[in-house]
Amino acid sequence: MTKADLKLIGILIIVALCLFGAGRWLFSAVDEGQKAVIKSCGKLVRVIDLTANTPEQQIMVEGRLGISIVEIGNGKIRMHDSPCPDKYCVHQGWASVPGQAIICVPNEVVIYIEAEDAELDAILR
Amino acid sequence: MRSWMPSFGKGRCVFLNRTQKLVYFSFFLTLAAVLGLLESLLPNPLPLPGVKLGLANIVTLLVLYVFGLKAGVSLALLRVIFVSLLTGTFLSVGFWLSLSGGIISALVMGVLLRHCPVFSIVGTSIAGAVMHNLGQLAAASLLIQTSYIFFYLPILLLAGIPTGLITGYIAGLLLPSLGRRFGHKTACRK
Repeated sequence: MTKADLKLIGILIIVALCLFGAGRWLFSAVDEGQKAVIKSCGKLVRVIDLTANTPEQQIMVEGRLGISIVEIGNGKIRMHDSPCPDKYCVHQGWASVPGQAIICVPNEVVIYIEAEDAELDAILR
Repeated sequence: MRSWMPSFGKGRCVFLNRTQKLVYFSFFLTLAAVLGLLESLLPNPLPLPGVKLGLANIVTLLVLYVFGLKAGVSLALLRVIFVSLLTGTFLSVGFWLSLSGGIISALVMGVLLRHCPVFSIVGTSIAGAVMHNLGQLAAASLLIQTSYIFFYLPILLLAGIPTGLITGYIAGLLLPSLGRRFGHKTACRK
């Protein structure tokens, strides 16, 4: 190892740390853009901005079996109550990360969190 | 023959004729492909996609030292194609990532060897590993069309340092014996 090697390693570490800091800063700004999409029987019911400022609320969603109650609070969303027999959707709890989804199959109500371009882009093996 | 055979540059490998060069190049290519294949079979110890040791990089580095830039880049290109055919990932997303990473890293290492003799083989290897990761990331952002992926950049930069160190160290151990066989100046340099 020569001195130039050590310099190269040092520069790389510094650049990486700077980029890491910049990334964290940008990420915190990006987090604001997420939305919760609620669909029932394949049709779009509502799109709600999911930020910490979104007021706590409950939304009634008419599904195939009856009315599901969706609850929003603190930048998160959950299925509060559902007429489905198994209540998997209710037990799943809160969702707040882009890509997360709460799906109630019997009542055909789907909730998913979306960011601007956070769809699944590609699968690498 | 001449059109596809990699040229090894003037004044290098004076003891080898064209056939011998071809044989040695094929030998190195096989070695690189086997190492690449071996690595693709091993599970990734880290939960970071794209971060690998890069064993095939050892061979690229040695060929760059012994045969020169063109041969090194050809080796990287052919190795990626062979490994992708063997693992069944030819023309998949992963293939394009490896291809761009491999070629960019070989190019950078070759240029560094030729024009920046201040770096030892370890430093060259680190630069190559980091450029491999950068090339992969650039290809990924082109294919996927999102800039989100650049948040991954610092991780890949940092990951290139230990992997480059290890592969560079191994190549440095092998180089003296290769230098004796091929009688090349840079190969004997520490």
